[in-house]
Amino acid sequence: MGLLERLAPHLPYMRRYARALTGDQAAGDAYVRAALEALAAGEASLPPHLTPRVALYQVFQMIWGGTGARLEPPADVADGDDPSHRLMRIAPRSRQAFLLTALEGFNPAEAGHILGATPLEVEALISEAQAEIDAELATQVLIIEDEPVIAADIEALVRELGHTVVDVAATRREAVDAVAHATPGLVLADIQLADGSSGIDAVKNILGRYDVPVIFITAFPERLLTGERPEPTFLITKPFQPETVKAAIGQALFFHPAKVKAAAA
Amino acid sequence: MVVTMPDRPSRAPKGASSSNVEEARLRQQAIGVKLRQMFDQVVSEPVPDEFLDILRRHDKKASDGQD
Repeated sequence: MGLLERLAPHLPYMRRYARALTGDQAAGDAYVRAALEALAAGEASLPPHLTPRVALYQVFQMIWGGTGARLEPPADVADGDDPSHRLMRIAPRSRQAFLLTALEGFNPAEAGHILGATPLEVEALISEAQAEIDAELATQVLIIEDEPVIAADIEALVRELGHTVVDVAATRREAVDAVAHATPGLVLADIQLADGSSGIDAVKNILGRYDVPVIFITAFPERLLTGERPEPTFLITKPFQPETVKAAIGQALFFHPAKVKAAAA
Repeated sequence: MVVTMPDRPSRAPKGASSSNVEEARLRQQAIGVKLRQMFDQVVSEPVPDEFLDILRRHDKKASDGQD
């Protein structure tokens, strides 16, 4: 079977990975092209014990790891808060482990073949990537929750992720006051609050002034689905799994512009 | 390669860190899902012809060489 037949189906994904890894399609494509040329010239080969996809990524890794990983970061990576910039601020090797597993869907053993690392080393890289992502996303969190026990649970979980809890508000009024004192980078909100006021109203009020990601954690999801749903929002149903909340927080923050805009200012 | 799995009791100190990796993986998958949406267009657009040409030229040379 020729190279074309073996590799063509994997090239769209190879280009995606190269783009995510380098932060730029043209730069990514240049490495893909170099990898294909090395294969065509016989300077690199596809190890027969690997699947064609893993083998292709391994050859790409040899090319990029030898040059690209050493060249970065470009000057504009330091600031900029879109997801591509966030990716580029993760150290090259942990970024690779993260992207190979979370974006490309390789298991740790496959990622290990590609990176020339043992599965344990891949796990260590994944942990490093997570620590870097956590540091990147660390922000000030406002919790809107009237049940003290649940509020304490959420607070602990938020702190565990490295965030600061700026306030725990039990009513709409308290939430709006809290935001006036300190602008949060993330809002976690219950819907039905202590004095009968609505977390949805509180959030609408906040979003009218600031562009901030919001995660609703509620036992009454239907109120969000039927009512006018403020954007950008996530929805988690009580009782919640801590991991689900943590995953939602990471997702919400990673894809939300970090700069807090004061729309009314 | 043979990987020996230690018994549960001796794993105890490692338990926390391996569940951390599990949690990290879960949280990274949540980001990965959205990254895939973000890069959807890259995957659906046609692969540049020059990439396919590099492979085609190689395959042609290889099969010519066999004749």
